[in-house]
Amino acid sequence: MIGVARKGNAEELKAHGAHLVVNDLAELSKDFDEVATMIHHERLKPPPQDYTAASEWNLIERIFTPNLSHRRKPSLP
Amino acid sequence: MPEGTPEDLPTAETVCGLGNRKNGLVNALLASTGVEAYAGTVAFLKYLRRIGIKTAVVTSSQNCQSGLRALKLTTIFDARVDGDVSLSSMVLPVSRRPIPLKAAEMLGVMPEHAVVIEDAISGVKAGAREADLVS
Repeated sequence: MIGVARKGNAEELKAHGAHLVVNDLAELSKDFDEVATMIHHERLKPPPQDYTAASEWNLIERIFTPNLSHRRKPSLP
Repeated sequence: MPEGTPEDLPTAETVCGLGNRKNGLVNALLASTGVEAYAGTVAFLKYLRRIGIKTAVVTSSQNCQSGLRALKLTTIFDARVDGDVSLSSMVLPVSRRPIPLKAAEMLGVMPEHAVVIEDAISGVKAGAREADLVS
């Protein structure tokens, strides 16, 4: 139960059963957007080392595919 | 004043007649001066739709649909449980109708997985009462 205290009556809403009280639902949009951004970020952002600039001495592997690992061996020093 | 019936004319000197007169005035105001939505509420509803969370509007008012129409928001909710719906399907007095539970049923959502959002004390009380029923 979420109460929206449009009349500054947060305590009254809580007293009657609201578990959370906001002054405007925009506050929840902001929170949800932040949470959604975090989830999206954690799910899709590659590990930090993937941002290392590629060079002839630096192999970047974005997806680990064990059955193709033999292809990497010739390129390793 | 006698209770009357929902079919009473707006001119009838009954509680229902008075309610129907009030509804007529509200609808006339909606048509003439329009209605203003809480911007944060609309943004929140659009956000919920965007991430796939179902929503229902729940009210004992019979002016719900005309209000949504005035706001051009008739499609923002997945279900509507209002005075029109509940009056036609329930025999309980308005104050005792399990309207939020009816909304959960219409959405195909388990009540314990639903969140009620209310700004009226009476609505918070009703939501808390129904939460007790399902817990």
